[in-house]
Amino acid sequence: MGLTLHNYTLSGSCYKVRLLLEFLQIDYHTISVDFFPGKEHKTPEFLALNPLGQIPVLEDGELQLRDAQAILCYLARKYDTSAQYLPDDPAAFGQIMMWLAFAGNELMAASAARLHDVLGYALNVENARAQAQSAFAILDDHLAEREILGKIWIVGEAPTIADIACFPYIALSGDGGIGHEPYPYLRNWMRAFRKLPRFHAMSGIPEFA
Amino acid sequence: MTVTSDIVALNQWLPVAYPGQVTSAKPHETLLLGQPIRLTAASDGTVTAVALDASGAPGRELPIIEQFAVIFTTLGDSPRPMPIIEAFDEPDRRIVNCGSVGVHASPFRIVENFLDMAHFCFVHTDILGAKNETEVLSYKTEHRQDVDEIWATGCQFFQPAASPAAAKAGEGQMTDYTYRVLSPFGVMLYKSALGYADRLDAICLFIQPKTETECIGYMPMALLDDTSSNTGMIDFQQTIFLQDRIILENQRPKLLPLTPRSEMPTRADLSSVAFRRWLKDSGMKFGLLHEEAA
Amino acid sequence: MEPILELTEPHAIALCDNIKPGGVHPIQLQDVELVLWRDYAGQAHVWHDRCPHRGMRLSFGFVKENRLTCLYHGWEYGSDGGCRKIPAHPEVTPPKTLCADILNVSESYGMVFVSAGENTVETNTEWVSVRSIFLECDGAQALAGIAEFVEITEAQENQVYLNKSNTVAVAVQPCSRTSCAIHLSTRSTDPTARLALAKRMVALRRKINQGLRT
Repeated sequence: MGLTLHNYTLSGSCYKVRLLLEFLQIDYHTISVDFFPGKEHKTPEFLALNPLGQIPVLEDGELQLRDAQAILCYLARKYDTSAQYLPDDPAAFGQIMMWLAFAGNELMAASAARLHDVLGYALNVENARAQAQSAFAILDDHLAEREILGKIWIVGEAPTIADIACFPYIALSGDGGIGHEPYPYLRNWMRAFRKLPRFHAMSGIPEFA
Repeated sequence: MTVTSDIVALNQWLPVAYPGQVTSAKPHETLLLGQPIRLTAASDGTVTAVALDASGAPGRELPIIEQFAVIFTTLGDSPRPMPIIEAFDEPDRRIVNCGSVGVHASPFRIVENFLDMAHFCFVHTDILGAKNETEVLSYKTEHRQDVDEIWATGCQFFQPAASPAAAKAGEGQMTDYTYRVLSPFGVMLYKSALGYADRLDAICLFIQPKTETECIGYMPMALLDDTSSNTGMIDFQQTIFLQDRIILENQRPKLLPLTPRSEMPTRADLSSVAFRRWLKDSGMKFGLLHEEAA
Repeated sequence: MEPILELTEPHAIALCDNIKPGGVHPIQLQDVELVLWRDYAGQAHVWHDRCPHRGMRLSFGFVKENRLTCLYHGWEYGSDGGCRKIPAHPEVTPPKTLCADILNVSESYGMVFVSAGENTVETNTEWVSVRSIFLECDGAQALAGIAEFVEITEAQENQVYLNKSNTVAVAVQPCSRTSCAIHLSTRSTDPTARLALAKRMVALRRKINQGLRT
């Protein structure tokens, strides 16, 4: 059957997985989920696949995985023979896990603001924006320190899945009314990311850098 | 929040929901030209609408028309008639409801972007335009007085993936376009359909102006397509609209200026020039920058 | 009413090191949107953030062969602000009047300044960046906070504050009436010293934000 991604084109979380699949040049099959307006991810059929009612879901043979961060770990471990995207070194591994958790939790406030502004989701958008801005400042601070040390990427000397997990919702934050003016280090990091070979954009992220 | 006093804006049929958005379990509250309204659905699916007063209490009932896969209402006493779009009655077409998307922009910036071809290569790269085929050839615009609509005809552009069907087939094509401004807040296009020599796909954009700078866009389509899934067709259109959205939200000033001094058009902008003139002649003030007031 | 730039004095808007060749940055100064970009020859440019075609913010654009290119229709602008190419009409030479709204830029103390005066670049490369930080307070309060760990003396030219030993430079960028950015640079390339200063700046931001919440 090969790799199958249950995907929604406008989903930043699915985009995390699509980015790594392209970086690793892995062939995969896509099943489009009618996220909006169909709410297909909340149907009984989809809940049987992922009881959390969320996308992305990855299928690889018998294996089924939910959660973009977990999927990134699996793909890196299984298919990245260079071990660049998820190194074995315990310190690097631990730091990457720390930033993956950040990407899956604190940074998701930016996703919430985007869902409110774009798709009309009912939620407290001012709170979401404030939480997202606090989270952005934390990564911007980290990247400022890395810059003083002459480093570009969140962990180590090369892009890892920490960068891939953090990139989408920061790059898409304008969709949710969050600008990048106060984050000069995030801007430089995003540009470096967009210049990577085999990077591809998505709606909401300008094509050219 | 105050309701606009602009009679031209008030006397329009405007979208307020897409089919299925309002259910008997869940009323839908929204804003139209500064007026809060509430939509409710009966158990048989019939939708009704009321204007809400400042305390949120229901006031006068508003008329509803459901057409072109969109639910419309009007705040005016003598609204501009609904347009006639025959494509939505043709039985062999796929009628696609793409939901709605919020945009922080003037409704007229959204209309102009829809009419524009010069951005295809930069905003919809490898879909509606190719990086090395940027020229916009001359086309015509006219004000069709009988229906009071602005039409742009004879438009052509090379497109790597012009439609969901064309994207699937992997075929680039020279696409013919005809644009039609249906009303100040409604616009549509007809474009070449893959495999149909003499019929055209129809794609509409109806804009719900919540305020002068905050809108909701509804994009129903009537397509000639036997190959794409419903999800695939929605996906295609939402991709395009979200690409336009970053442009729309970042144009300055937010309100559309009518004087050419501040925004320099080129020949490719013929339809936007015609649209701005038509808007000015209509007496519309809502959503527009009034530089001439000084 | 649209806000208007008041440039009776120069204003720091970035640290030089942060503006890399090919980079395009949105800058907020006195509530006015500006774009700061650096071409591949190393020259920084500051313009009003607005393409004269359909008003698209140029800060979303990209640098292509030393021209700032607008994201909407790909119009290309040269370093003097003049439009050089309109892709929709490749054979047309854009009229000279088609021009971005340009401002003057200078670089000194490791910072980029916008001013009403002439473009200047100091060749003094002794200054290296520490970091820029954005604060929800006005410039006076920000400087008072910085003064707690940097011995600031009076303002020099370009509204730059130096410490007594002339090893740290500080400048304030008034983003709006209620927010500002602080740009800090040093003469010391030692990363330990720069990291320590950066951490103090983050602590200051936390303190100011906490003050706002209570």
